[in-house]
Amino acid sequence: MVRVTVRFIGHLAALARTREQVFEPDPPVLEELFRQVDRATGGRLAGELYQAGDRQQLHKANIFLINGREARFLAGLQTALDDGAVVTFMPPLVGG
Amino acid sequence: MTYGWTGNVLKVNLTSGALANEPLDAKTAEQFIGSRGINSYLAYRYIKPGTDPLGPENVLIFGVGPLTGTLAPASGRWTVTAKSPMTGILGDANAGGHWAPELKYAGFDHIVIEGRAQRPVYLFISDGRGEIRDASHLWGKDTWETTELIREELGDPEVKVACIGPAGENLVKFACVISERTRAAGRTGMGAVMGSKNLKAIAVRGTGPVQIARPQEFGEAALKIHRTLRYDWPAYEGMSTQGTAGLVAAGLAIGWLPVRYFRSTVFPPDAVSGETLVKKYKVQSVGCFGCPVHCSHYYAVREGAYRGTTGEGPEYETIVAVGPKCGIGELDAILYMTNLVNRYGLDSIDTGNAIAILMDLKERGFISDRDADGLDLTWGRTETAIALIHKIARREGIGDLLAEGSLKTAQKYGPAAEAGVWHIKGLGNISVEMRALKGANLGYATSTRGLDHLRGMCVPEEVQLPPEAGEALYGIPEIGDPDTYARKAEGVVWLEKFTASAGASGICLFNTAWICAPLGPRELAELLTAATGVDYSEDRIFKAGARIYNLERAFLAREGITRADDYPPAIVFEQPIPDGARKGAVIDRAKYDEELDDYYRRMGWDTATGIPRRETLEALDLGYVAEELAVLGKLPEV
Repeated sequence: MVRVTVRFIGHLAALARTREQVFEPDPPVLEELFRQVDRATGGRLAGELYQAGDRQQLHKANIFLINGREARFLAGLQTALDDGAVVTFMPPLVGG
Repeated sequence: MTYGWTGNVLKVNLTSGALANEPLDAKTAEQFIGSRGINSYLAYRYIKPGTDPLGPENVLIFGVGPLTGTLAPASGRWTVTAKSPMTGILGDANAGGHWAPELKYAGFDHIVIEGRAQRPVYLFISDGRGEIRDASHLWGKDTWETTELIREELGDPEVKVACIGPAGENLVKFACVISERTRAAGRTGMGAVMGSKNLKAIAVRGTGPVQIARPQEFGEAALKIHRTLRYDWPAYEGMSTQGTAGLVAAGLAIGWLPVRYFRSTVFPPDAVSGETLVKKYKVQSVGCFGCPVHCSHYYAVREGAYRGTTGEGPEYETIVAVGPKCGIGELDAILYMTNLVNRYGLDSIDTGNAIAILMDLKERGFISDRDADGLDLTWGRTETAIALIHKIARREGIGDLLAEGSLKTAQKYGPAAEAGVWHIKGLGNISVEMRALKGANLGYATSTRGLDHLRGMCVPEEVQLPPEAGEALYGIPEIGDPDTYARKAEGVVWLEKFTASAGASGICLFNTAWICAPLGPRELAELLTAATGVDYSEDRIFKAGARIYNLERAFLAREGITRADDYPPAIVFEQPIPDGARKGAVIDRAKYDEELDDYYRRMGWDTATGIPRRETLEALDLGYVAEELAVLGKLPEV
C-alpha cells in the first residue's frame, strides 16, 4: 500500500481543517488521491481541486506539487504516486 | 505641452551649488520612456568609463516615469541610478511609497546630481524649483529621525523625504536610499554614492498636476486594469494579505528557499511564513501610491524580547536574508532587524549576505569567532546578527570589512574562501537557491546590475506557473517548469524587455507580468498611449525595453564586462542541492552554455563576447552607442 503525505497551505489548510494528512490512494495516482481528499474534507475542497466542477481538470490557479514538482509538468491527474511521496496543495502565491 | 511627462529635469551641481531646470528631450522620453530607462540613458551619457563610483565625478540620477502619480495602478515607483560602488558597473535601485508622485507634482521627471558638496546638505524641491540646504545637523541621524527633522524644519508633514542613514554616510558599499521610513531603494549601494556626495536627503513637495493626453481613454484603461488585478488575478488574495512573505511557503514546498547560506533548503515551515507574519504580527495592510494590491504590512511585536517593535514590511527577501539564510527562525527578531536596516539605510539582502558569509567562513574553517570581535558565529545566533548590523553600519571592528560586501569579505581569506561566495558581477545572491531553477539563473546572470531577480525571469519558475497560464501570459507553456531548460532563454528575453519598459513607465512590477499578474505589454501600451499621446504598441513596448537593455549592456561593456561575467558561481554547476524537495538538483554547464548562446542570439549580441552587435544597436536607434563601442575597441567584429 502506498502512503502519501498531503500538505495543505494557506486557505486550503483552513478548508481542509488540517495542515497535513496521510492518505493511501489505490490505485496510486493523483486522480485517486484527489477523490480521497475530496471525501475526507467533506467536499469543502472540491472547488479548489477541480476547474469548474470538471473532475478531469485540475483547478487552473492552484498548485499541486508532487515531491516539489507541479502535476501539470508531470502527467496531470494520471501522475503516479510513489510510497512516501509528499503532495502539496498550494494556492497561487507570488512575490519577489 | 507635454503629457505624462512633466518635461523637466533638475540639474544640480553640488560642487558649485548651481541648480538649473532643463527640458527633457522629447525624443529621449519617447525612446526610453522614463524612470529606469531615462536614468540609464543619462548615466550612459554622463558617467564615463573608469569613473570612481565614490568620487565626485560619479553622477547620481533620480527618476520617475510618465505613469507616475496617475490613476495607473501602483504608479508610485522611483529609480535611483549611478555607477555602483558595490559592483563597479551600472547601479540602480527602485522603491515605492509616495515620494515619486510628490516629485512629479513638484514638476520634475528626473534629478541629475553631479559633484560633491563641501559639507552635508539636503535638497528641497518644491513646485518647480530646487534649493540646497544645510544638513550638518542631520549628519549621523538615522533615516527615521532625518525624515521627521526635515518635515519639522520645513513645517510641512506632507513633505516626502528620500534619505540616507549612517550606512550611506559611512560609505557602506551596500547602503541604500530610504523614503518614508521603510521604502528602500536597496541594491547596488546608491546610498553610498549619496553619502560620497555629502547629500543627506532629497525632500519633495508638489501641488502641480500630471497632464494626461487622452483623459477619458486613460481613465477607462486604468479602471479596467485595476478591476482585472482585483477580481481576475488568481494570486491577488495571497499577495494582498501576505504580500511577498507568502513566497516562504512556496519556497519551502518547492525546495528553493536557501538556509544557512545555501547549505540547505529545509526549515520549519511555520517559523517565518507569511501566514505566521499575518497571524502574529500584522496590524493592517499598507499600499503604495494608487496600488490595488497593497502587499505591505504594518507590524507590531507585542511580547517577548522585541516587544515594542513596530514598522512596515518586511518583504520575502528581507525575511529570508536576515532569517533562514543566517539560520535564524525568530520572526520577531527578523522584524526588529528589518527596522534596524531601514533606520541605518542598509540593503537587507546584502546585509544578510554579509552576516551569512561570516558564519559560512567560520563553518568552512577560514575564520574563528576571534576574527569577528569575539561574536559567536554559530548559525542562528540572533544576537550576533543584530550586533553585526550595528557594526556594519558604523564600520566598527569586523563591520568595516563586512561593509565592503560578502565578496570582498571572503576575498580577504583567499581564493578558496572566495569560491564559496554566491554572487554574480559582485552583487550578492538574492534569497533563492539557484540550482533549483533551470531558467532563472540566466536572468540573474544577464541582469544589467549584477545578480538580480527584478530584471529578468524568476517568478514563473519559483511558483511553477502552470502551462496554460504560461501560454496565456507569455506564449511559453514551459516557462513555469523549473526542471527544464527548454525555451527559458526566450522567457528571459521576453521578461527583460517587458520589465525594462514597465519599470521605466513608473509602475510597480508587482502589478505586472513580471510577477505573473495580468498587466502585460498590451495593457502597458494602452496606459502609456493614453497618458502620453505617443503611440505605444505592444511591439514598441518590447522595442523600448530592448533599447534600455542594450544601452545598459553597453554601459557594462565599457567597464569591461563580457560573456565570462554572465555565469552563476561555479558551485551551482558542481555541487547538487543536499536536501529538500529538489535534492540532487544542479545546473548542467553545457545546457547553461546553450541557454546563454540562445539568449545572446535572441538579443542580437555576439555569442563570443556577449556585447551587442552594430546592427542590433542601430536598429534600436543606438548608432551612437555602436560608434563609441567601436572607438573603445569593444564592438564585435562582423
